[in-house]
Amino acid sequence: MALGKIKADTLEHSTAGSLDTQYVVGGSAKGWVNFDGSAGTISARGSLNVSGFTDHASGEYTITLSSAFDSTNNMAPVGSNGNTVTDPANSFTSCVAVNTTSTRHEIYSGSNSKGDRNFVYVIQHGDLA
Amino acid sequence: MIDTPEFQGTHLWDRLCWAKENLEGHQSEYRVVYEDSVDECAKILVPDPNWMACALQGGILPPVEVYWELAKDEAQPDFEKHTRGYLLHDTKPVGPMTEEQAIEYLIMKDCPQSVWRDYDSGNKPKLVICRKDQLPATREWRNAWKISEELSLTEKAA
Repeated sequence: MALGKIKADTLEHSTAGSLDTQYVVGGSAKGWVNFDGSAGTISARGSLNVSGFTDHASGEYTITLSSAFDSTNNMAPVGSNGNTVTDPANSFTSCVAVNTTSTRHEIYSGSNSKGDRNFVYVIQHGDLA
Repeated sequence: MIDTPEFQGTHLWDRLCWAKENLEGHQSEYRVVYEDSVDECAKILVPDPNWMACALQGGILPPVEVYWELAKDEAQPDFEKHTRGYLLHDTKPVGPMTEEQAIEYLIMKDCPQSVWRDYDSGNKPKLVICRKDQLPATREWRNAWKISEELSLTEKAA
């Protein structure tokens, strides 16, 4: 890349110890998205490393990635809120399928049926290909 | 318009980070409606604004064929880890696309091949590109959405 680079194996604080940069590289999120799942068609508020969203049905979404993970051992926790960012909306969420370039998620309401939420958050962690 | 650095050989992740910092996201008005099962409702594919900005800019995204190669590897029964991830980073990136070309690329990347390979060979199309305002404005009856059998440019697509 045409930008400057700092190459280091360790970051050291003056008093609080040191950290292997591998932890920083491996531990950083490789993708994230915040989207509105309740509008007529879903739309992103912000994202990184996402190519698109598939709206399968009520409360069912797939997030597809640009830069692939190296295996299907990546993880993608998902969270949601109701009509506002502070509304818990009595829902639970799950990641139901993981590929190296996509993750599929479902959101359930308190009545155990799938439902749409205004605020849906997904974070992608793992090693990139 | 900012020039894209020479990115061939740069990790795709680094390119996306550069794009996030330097390009304004582009909210596309296009949506892709497709059906991959007669028993299920229509799916809606929405392009990500940052991804669309990369596609319009050019020189960032790898050719779509790279994703097909990785998908072939992943479909092998003994797949554990990608060994050809370098294809994403070392293959010459594609140049600037129009929004319509970007949507076609996204379809070939993110829709099942069984849908787009012969999308109009049946009694009704399995895949339609439409504008956002051609879709229902609310999620009412979302699980019953189907591609309309008699489409025209002025009608609702689903």
